[in-house]
Amino acid sequence: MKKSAEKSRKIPLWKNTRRLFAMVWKYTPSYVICMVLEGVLWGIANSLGIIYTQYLFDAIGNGEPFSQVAKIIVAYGIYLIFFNLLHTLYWNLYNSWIRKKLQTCLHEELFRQAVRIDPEKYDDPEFYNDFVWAMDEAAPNVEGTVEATGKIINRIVASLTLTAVLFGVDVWMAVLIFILSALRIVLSFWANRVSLRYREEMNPLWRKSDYINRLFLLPDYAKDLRVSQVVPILHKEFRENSEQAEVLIRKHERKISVVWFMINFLYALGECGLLILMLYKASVLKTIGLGSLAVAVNACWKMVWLLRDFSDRITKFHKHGIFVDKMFVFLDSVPTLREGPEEAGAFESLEFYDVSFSYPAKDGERKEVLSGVSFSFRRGEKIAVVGYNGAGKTTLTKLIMRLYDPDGGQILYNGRPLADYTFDSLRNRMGAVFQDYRIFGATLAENVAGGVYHPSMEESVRQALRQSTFDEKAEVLKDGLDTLLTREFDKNGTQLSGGEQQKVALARAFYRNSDLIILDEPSSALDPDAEYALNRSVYDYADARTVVFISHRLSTTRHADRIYMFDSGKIAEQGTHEELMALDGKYAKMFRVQAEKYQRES
Amino acid sequence: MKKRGKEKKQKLPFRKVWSNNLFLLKIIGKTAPMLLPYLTLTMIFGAAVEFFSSTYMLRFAINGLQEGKEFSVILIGILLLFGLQTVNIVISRLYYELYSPVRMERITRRMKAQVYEKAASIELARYENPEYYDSFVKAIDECSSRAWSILTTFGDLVWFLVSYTANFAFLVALDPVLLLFALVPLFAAPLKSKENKAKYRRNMELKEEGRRENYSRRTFYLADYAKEMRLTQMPELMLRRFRESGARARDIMRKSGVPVAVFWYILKILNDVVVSLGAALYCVWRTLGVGAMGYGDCLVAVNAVETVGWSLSRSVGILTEFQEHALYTENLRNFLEYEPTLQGGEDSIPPTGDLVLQGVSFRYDGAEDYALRDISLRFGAKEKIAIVGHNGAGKSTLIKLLLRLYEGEGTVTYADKEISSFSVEEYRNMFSVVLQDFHLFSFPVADNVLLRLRREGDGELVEDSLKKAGLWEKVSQFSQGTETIITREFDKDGAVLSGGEAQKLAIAHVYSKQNRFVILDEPSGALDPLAEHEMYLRMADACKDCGMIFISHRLSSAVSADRIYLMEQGRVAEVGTHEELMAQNGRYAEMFRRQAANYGEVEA
Repeated sequence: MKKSAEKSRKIPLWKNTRRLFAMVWKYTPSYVICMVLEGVLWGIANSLGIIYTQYLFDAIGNGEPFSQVAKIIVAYGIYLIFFNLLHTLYWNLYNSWIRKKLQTCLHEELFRQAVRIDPEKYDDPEFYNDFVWAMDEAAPNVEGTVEATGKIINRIVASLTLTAVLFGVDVWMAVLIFILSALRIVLSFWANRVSLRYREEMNPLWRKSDYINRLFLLPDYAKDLRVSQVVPILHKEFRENSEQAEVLIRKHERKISVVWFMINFLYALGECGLLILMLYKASVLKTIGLGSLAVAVNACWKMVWLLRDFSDRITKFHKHGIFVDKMFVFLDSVPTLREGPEEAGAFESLEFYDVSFSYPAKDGERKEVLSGVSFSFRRGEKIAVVGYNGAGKTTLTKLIMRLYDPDGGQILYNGRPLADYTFDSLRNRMGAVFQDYRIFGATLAENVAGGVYHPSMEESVRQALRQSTFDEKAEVLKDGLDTLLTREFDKNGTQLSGGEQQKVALARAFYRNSDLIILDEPSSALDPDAEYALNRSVYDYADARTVVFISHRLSTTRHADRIYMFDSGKIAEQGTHEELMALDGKYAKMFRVQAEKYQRES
Repeated sequence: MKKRGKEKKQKLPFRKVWSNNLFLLKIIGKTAPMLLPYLTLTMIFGAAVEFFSSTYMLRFAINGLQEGKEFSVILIGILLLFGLQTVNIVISRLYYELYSPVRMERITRRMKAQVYEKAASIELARYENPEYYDSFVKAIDECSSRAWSILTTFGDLVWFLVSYTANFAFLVALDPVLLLFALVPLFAAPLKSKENKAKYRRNMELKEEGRRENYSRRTFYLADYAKEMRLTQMPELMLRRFRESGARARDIMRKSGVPVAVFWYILKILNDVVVSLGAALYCVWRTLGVGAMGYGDCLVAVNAVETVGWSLSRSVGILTEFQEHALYTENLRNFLEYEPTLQGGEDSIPPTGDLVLQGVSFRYDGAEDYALRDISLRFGAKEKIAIVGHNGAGKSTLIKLLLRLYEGEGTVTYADKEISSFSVEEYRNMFSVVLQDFHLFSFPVADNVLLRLRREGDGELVEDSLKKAGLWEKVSQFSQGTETIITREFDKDGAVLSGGEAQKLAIAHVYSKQNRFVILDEPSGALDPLAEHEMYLRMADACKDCGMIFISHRLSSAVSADRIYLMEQGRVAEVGTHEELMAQNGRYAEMFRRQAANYGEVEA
């Protein structure tokens, strides 16, 4: 397997952590306060148990009166009742609640950034992976960092108080425990590295296995699986994938077993060593009493556990840090598409001057899809862009709507470069229906409004639906405009057919009442009647507006004021239908092929 | 806000708990027969060593000191213990790293393979029913972790049984009264199971909100939505939805969290205060008040009661864990044991014959109207049939019924035999289908063409099919040729195809098969006119000897069909050849003229 060069970014752990806490503080200050408070309180409480035990054992050893000892036990019981109440309130009720709140706020920030990044980035698999990752994993890792911090505070406070207790019993014991803990921390860093590499190597296999899982799980694929013999391929791929995983598991678990053997063996060795040391002092030197011995053994177990947990938390903190860093890199990524300060006015003209554009291809090369394209149109014109698949037609739309910037040349809106205008003002002047339009899992009204819907908008929504000829269907929907257009999370939702979805997408474009409408192959899923009706409604609606039709169905485009025939990213021919037919070039050939069967009838 | 549906009762009878757990353990046993015995051994040994090192050793040491034993004797005892611990570590590592992970992978593989097999055999309708679909998703989720969880629980059970027995015996030897304290957690068992149920209910409610949140989140990062999210105000709306779901989730946490917290609190107090402190009080009273208990014994007894109480409450927890496993396994089991209503027969398929539909009607689950009404039509063995009609006229539904993806009323026969008498798989294999919303797979090009396991000498067939589909030129330019993986999800050098190219690839599949029937559902949607024209010519050529059924709303492609069915609102409205239908001057003729008018040669 070829491995790409390791990314050499050094993670500014300290800076990130500070920034992260500033962020958490902004959204949920009470979470930070409670986390610190919890850490300190629980840390002290931890040692309180030991002190109680010491007192109890000493009291027994000294033969104090029963009533005296009983009082202490009862007092400790009362303390436990209150303390656990606090514990329950915090862990069972407050903690998950406040974390959810943090999650929501954090996602809001991520979402805002997500819609800012360049659409081009979606084509870059490496960036996209990190992006998806940030959207999925940022919140758990931010929470993880906060929680780990709380636990680290807790362990520090607890071990400090315990150390005080231990030093009181025996200095050597305290020193020995510290040496052991230091060793343990070093070893666990090693273990961490090993398991990180393990995960890294397993990752591609997990992803593939997830993919196969999706194929079986998602309704989208259910039909494909049933009408072909592809299922055995999936089983084979799945099995091979899992067998590969087995090989990796064998290889890495062997290393991990060595690490864990060392860690556990050291622990056992230390424990026995301590016991021997303490017993030697108690029985041969007679420098410590029996009560202290019992307490020391208890305290030492607790201390070892605390420090073990401490080092686990530190490594966890570190692990979260890697992911938190990814989140910040994502949040800091600056879009190259910048908006200008101008408000775009009513549409007058759009001009392309020698525009070229390429998509990033593999190995940093770029694949040119448009080159030297120059054309222009003015208000009120009906323009058609036609051509074969892959001629660069759809890229035009993306450039006009400024989802991408061209590599070369200029695009002028009302005589000024697109980049001079604000995104919102520019995009509000345009309405587009894409070939691969999307219907959202929201209500019909919201889908038409393209965002938040308010009853005051009802009339305009209904009008847009009328214009896209969806009004009749809208009438029969159970909840009318409020019908949810998905069944994914609501049984009362509705699943529209392809053609119906297209009409909703069209209504969305009409709703905006834009000066310039771009229809990117909107009729590919429509039947002839519906297509006819659609064309009529677009023409009716368009009136004095400007329309750009992008299509390979020449019947849709023949009445355009001007037709641009695209071929391999260049404008091959241009003119009206009649002119182009007279030219008898590529357009004429394409038209004849399509009209052939209808012509036979005449 | 919509009212949520009535909560389903989530309570399993004991027999079910038992049999569900057994069901999982059997799968484990079949895949890795030595796993359970090995785990048991590891746990028994581990628990025994634990007992010796915590409870017994302390007593041994303290009593030894009190009795003035030689330090060397105590030393030997401790060294012996150290030896035992080392052996224990070796056994644990052998189990946890060297033995079990590989077996777990195999178990997961086996379970998933079973679920996948079932998934591919259930009716399509189940995917469209949210409730069924939900249980299906849950079932798949269980595969990867449930076996591991049940093994953990099982291991814990063994551990605590050993630890409990040892400490119990120890307590009996010390003072039987202490047992009373140790037994308290047993009475708390119903509480513990109530706590678990409250937890389960809360998690289920949260899951629902989680699904909504996930949807909103997806719209922000899926490439499909990227354009609309930039060109409309949808982000605001999705954000609002996300926020609302978050608020509802917090509400659920607050409300449903209370019973969980209460149960947890009661149990905690019972353990920490009643059992531990109670026992301490008793021991201290026996020692200091009555003087009946020895000094060393008192110290150890407090420790031991805590251990017994703790392990008993843990083992009660373990029992409820089994209940939880049963609850989750129920989904998986129901899913695996579900018998699809769509059943095939045993008859072998005749070499040739006509497909005939007699009075077929169909209604989608939950739909009010019939999608198909009383359809009767015939697809001849070598006929080219076109089905035309409006969107929503039922064309695609008809195809789904024909392919036995759904089952409707009425009869469908092939060569005069009901299609339900053939095996579903063999029956479907008669067809090559290009669906309207087909999907490509992130596998090599060749697999996407064949859509079956490869055989010797497939290379030529793949090349030939791609040539016929007009995609060879493109594929031969790929760095890996027909072995290039589609999409870049798993391979940086993977191929990204445009809509038209993808469709050509889907069509190439048809050429790779010996077909009896070819079904094309709007196959030319993303093809430009020239490509469409060539596709039809080639397809007709390749399909001389098989039946062809194509759905289209471009009437130009129907002209040369042997027979055209015009569908309207789920019925067959007109039947005949193009010439006949034009002469009939009905709906078809009207539609045709209207469409042709756009090309300007025929007057409307």
